[in-house]
Formats: sequence, structure tokens, C-alpha cells
Amino acid sequence: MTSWTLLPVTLMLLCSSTLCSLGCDLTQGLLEDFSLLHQMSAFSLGPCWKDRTNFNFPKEVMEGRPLQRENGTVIVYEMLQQIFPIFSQNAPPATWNQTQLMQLLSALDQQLEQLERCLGQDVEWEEPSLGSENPRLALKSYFQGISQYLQYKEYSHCAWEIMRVEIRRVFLFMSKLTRKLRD
Amino acid sequence: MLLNQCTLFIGLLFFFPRESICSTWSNTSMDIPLQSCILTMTSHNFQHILSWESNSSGAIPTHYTVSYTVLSAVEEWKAVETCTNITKSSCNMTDIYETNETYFTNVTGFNRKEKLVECVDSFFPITDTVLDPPEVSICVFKDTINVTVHHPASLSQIKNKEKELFSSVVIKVQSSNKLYKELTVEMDNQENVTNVIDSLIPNSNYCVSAHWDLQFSKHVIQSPLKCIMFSSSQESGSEKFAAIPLATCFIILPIIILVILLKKTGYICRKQTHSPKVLDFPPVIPGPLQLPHVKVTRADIIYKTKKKKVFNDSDDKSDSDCESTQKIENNYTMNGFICRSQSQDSKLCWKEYNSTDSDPNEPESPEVDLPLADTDSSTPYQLKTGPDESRVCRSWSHLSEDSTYSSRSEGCFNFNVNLSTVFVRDHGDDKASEDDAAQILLPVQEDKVNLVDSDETELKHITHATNVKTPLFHVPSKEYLCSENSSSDESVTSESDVDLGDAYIRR
Repeated sequence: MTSWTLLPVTLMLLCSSTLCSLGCDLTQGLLEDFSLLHQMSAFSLGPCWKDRTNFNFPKEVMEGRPLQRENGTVIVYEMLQQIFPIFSQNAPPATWNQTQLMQLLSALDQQLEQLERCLGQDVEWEEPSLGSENPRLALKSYFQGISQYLQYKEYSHCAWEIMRVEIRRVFLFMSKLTRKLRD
Repeated sequence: MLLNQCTLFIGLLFFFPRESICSTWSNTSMDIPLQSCILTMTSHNFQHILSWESNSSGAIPTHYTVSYTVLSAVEEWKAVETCTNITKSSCNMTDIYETNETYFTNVTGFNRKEKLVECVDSFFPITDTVLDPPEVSICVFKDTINVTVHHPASLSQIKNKEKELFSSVVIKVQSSNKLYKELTVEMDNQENVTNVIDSLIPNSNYCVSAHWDLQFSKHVIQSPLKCIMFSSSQESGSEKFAAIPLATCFIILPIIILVILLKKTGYICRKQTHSPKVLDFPPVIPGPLQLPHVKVTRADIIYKTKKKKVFNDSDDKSDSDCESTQKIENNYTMNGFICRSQSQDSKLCWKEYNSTDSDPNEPESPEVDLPLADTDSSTPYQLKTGPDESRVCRSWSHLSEDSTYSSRSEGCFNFNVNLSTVFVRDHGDDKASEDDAAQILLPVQEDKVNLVDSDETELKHITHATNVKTPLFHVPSKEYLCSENSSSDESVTSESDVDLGDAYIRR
């Protein structure tokens, strides 16, 4: 009798996990964002080599510790939330492909909604599992540095290009992270 | 004018960051305009070859030094060891690149120690490299085409490092130079993936090619087209090959199972089972069955002369001519009728009446000793105690030629013994005692008792004729047990008392 009662429970769990994984899996979406960002501008970065800087991307957040699925999804959600205003609130260079820029922004918005549905109302960080460090804070400071850089560089073309390349690298990291969580 | 500029500069010192002032200063005052050159990074399977071309009209540099730096770090240029002070216009920079980083490459051209040319370019390996297309192999199976996609050998080292690049493959199927089908297949970290393409039009040409699903890549190479002519005859051929083993399976296997079943049940290949030795009978049984463990007792038939005309139904013919006879032959006394019917066969029959109250409780069953010494005699003599009238015919197979009872030409001579009128006495042992338990008396009808010989003991036996101790004889009702074989009458005889008066029939 117990096996009969357990069967629908297991089925439900499987279904829910499958649905969850489907809903929370943004690997493909992140790769599309990456390609949009890459193709948006054909500008060669050569002259902007002097404007290079170290943004101090928190790599240990992505690669250091094995992340649980919920925390990985929260990280991705946090990062997308920070990236979106950078492109939406400021005025990117006009030389960029505006169509692709709009596509990127709408994709980001869609992905944010998707993650909100996936995570539910509770997007609280699970403090004990990650120890003393709070990756959320590290990410927040990272993106704040990017905004400050843009301001510092007075939203020059090179600064935008440098920032674009850096965000492109972030998307690559995120897609690798979601692929890791999926597998 | 100069004072104003100095004032301006002093003022700028306070209001602007130091670095920017200094850099601007250095740029404006000390920067030598460099000749430009054209840098070209050719990357194939992450094998990066940087080549350059100087398009300056002035002096041509004699030596070149290649250096690089990463975008996300403020580091000084790092010179490539193998490409320092080289004269050729290309440099292999495969080993120094991280695939996810964006690099700046710097090529500086010198003429002796004077810097003539400096070119900087950015390079992002993961997007700028050109990957070999996946290898495609196709085979036709029934009415589908199986397309197998696997990594080329040249990417064997890189595919484990950059799994996301090789995650999905786009397969294009063309028919008559038109796109028939396009599908995206996930590799899922497998060595190869097989995809089945069905609903194909027979007798048409199909070409298949595949490429990596990289949206950000600048150059995506298609794999070489693999074409196949899909025809309906291939379908029948494959079916033919499949039919032969199926036929052998469905025909031979049931036959084998059937043979095994028959053998198990003993229907075929039956093993010869030998019967026990005790059941081995000699081919010729001389006389009655002589079984060693069975006590054979002789029984005498005592015939009571009751003249009763007994005829066979078949003998009741008007022209039958019956006469009663008595014959003594070889210790046999026979009294009976001879009826000559139309048939030439002469039959001597006794009608017998047997009651059913025969006592079956006979411990011993003395048997009638049928002295059949002759081999060609076949005279079964059977008596049956039954309610019906029964007739016993015994054919004498060994009567003499001049016997009136024998008809050798016909070969059939029958006797009917009326057992109700006879006594059967058992002579089992040498001490022939009438009180012997083996004595057998057949039921007798009271009104028919008419003893010829007034032997008291025998009379007693007669009156107590109900003591039939053994159903010795089995007389088949309404049957003649006749054998048409002729034999000498010696076989019938045995030691018996000849006593006309007693009316014993002995053998």
C-alpha cells in the first residue's frame, strides 16, 4: 500500500522538478543575450586599450564553491537585475545596433519575470549554506563599480565598449553556471 | 598667451584628477604619431595566428615585437617570447589565450631601436575563432535516413574545455537544392548523436549537412554535403534480408519444439522396454497353460444323460437330420446329437443350462485340462456360467478320420456340453478324492437330474449341485467357439476314466 501512495508523490516531485528546471533554466536565453551583445557593435577595441580597467568580477562566486540550484538561480536573478538598468537607464552609443539593443532589453525583462516566477516570492538568500561570505554583496559592489566607471569615463564611447565587453563576459559566466546547475 | 595657458593648467590641477591630466599631457606633448598597420587574427580551432601588414608609406620596420594584455586587468604589455624581434609578419599565439578573456594585441615595429609602427587590436577567442564543422554520416534504413553527428578529430582536445560551444548542432536536410528540413539537436556531452529523418519522398535525392549552433560566432562553417538517393527498392531489399532470419525463426523453431515434445511423450523414438522374464511365454503352449505357480487341477465333466433335443437355431432346419450318438474315444465319452444340416459341416452340440447362482468363492480354480498335444489344434473350450442358454461347441481337431464326428474336409466339429447336466470333478492331486476342495459342481436343475450311475457320493454332489466352487468355464452366450483347424484327436485326450455308466466325461 505504501508503494501505491508513494508513486503519485514521486511522480509529482519529478514533474515539479522537471518543470522547475525548465522554468529556471536560462542557459539558452543567456547565450542569446551574449550573442546579441556581441553583435550589437562592430567597433574595434584597439584604440580603447588604454581605458581598460579591472572591474573585480567575483569569480569565486561562480566557480569557487559548488552551488545549489536555488542559490545559483538567485545569483543569476541578481545579476540580471543589475545589468538591466545599466542599458536601460543610460544612453548607449548611437553607433550601436538599436534593434539588437531593444531585443536585448526585452529578453532581459522576460528572463527576469521568468526567474521571479521560478523563485516565487521568496528570493531570500540562504545564509548558512554559503558561509560568512555573501555573494550578493559582492555582486552588488561589482555592478556598482561598473556604473561608477561609466560615470567616470563620462560615458565615452570607449567606456561603453569596455563595459559592453565586460558584460558580455558576465553573460558567458552565467550561461556556464546555469549549465552546471542543469547537469 | 603663455601666462594664460599656465594659469589654466594650474587651475586644472586642482579641479581635475591627476591621472587624466598627466595622460592628456603626455598625449598632447610627447605622443609620436605612429604609423598604422593592419592586424589580422586568424584563428582556426583555437589555433591563433596573428598576422599584420604595415601600410605606412614611410620607413618599413625591420623587426617586430608582439605583446598582449588582457582587458579586465590593468597590466603592462606582455611580450610573446616566440615573437620578439622577429622579421616575419606573423606570430602563433595559441598557447597564451584564455578562451573567455578579451585580449589586446600589440604589434610594434622597430627599425633598429626606433619605434616606427605600433598597432593594437582586440581579440576575443571564443567568438573570433572558426571551428571545424561537425562530421556527419548518414545511412538509409527502411524508409528513414539515420543521420549521425559527431565531433571531428581536430576538436577532440577543445570540446572538453569549451562544452557550451559544442552543445547543439543544426542539421539541414536539402532536397533538390531546397531546404527540406532543419532541426537543432542537443549533443548533451555525448560523442555522437543520431537523428532519424522520416517521411521521405521516394525516388528523390537528399543532401544532409550540419554546423555548430553558435549565434555569436562570426564564421560558421557548414559540413560538406552528404547526398543520398532515396529509392523505394532499398526498402524491399532491407525487408528481404529481414525476412530470411524471420522465416527460419518461425518455421524451424516450432518444428524443433514439436520433435522434442513427441520424443518426450514417447510417441517417437520409443525405448524398447523389456518385459519381465516371467511374462515370456513359449511360442507354443502345449496343452493348457502351465504356469509354475498356478496349481493346475484336472476337472472331469460328468455328463448326465438327459436326452434333450438341443439344436442350434441355425440348425433348426427342416432338413436337418439329428441322431444321438455315444462315442468313446480316447477316454472320452461323448453323447450327443449329430445334426446334419444342409451345410456339410457336422456339428455336435449340447445345450446347457446354467444358473446364475454359481458360487464364485472358489479358492482354487481348477482348470479344464485341455490335452492339446498337437500343435495344430486350436480348440478353445470355454464355459461360461451365465443366465442365458449357452452353447458350447468344441471342435475336435484331432479326431480320427473314420470318426463320424469328424469332418475333416470341413474341418469343424462342434460339441455342445450342457453343463447343467454334467458334473465336473476335479482330480487335482493324485489322491483323487471326491471330497477334495477342488471339486466343482455346476448348478443343476432338479427336474432334469437323471443320473445314469447311482453313485451316492456323486449323487450328493449332484443334489448339492449348487456348490459350484469355481466358475471353471466361461461359456460365451450365443456363441460358437469354433476353430476350423484340424488336428489329431490325440491332443484332446488325457488320462480319464472311461466309465460309460458314470457318464463322466473325462479327459
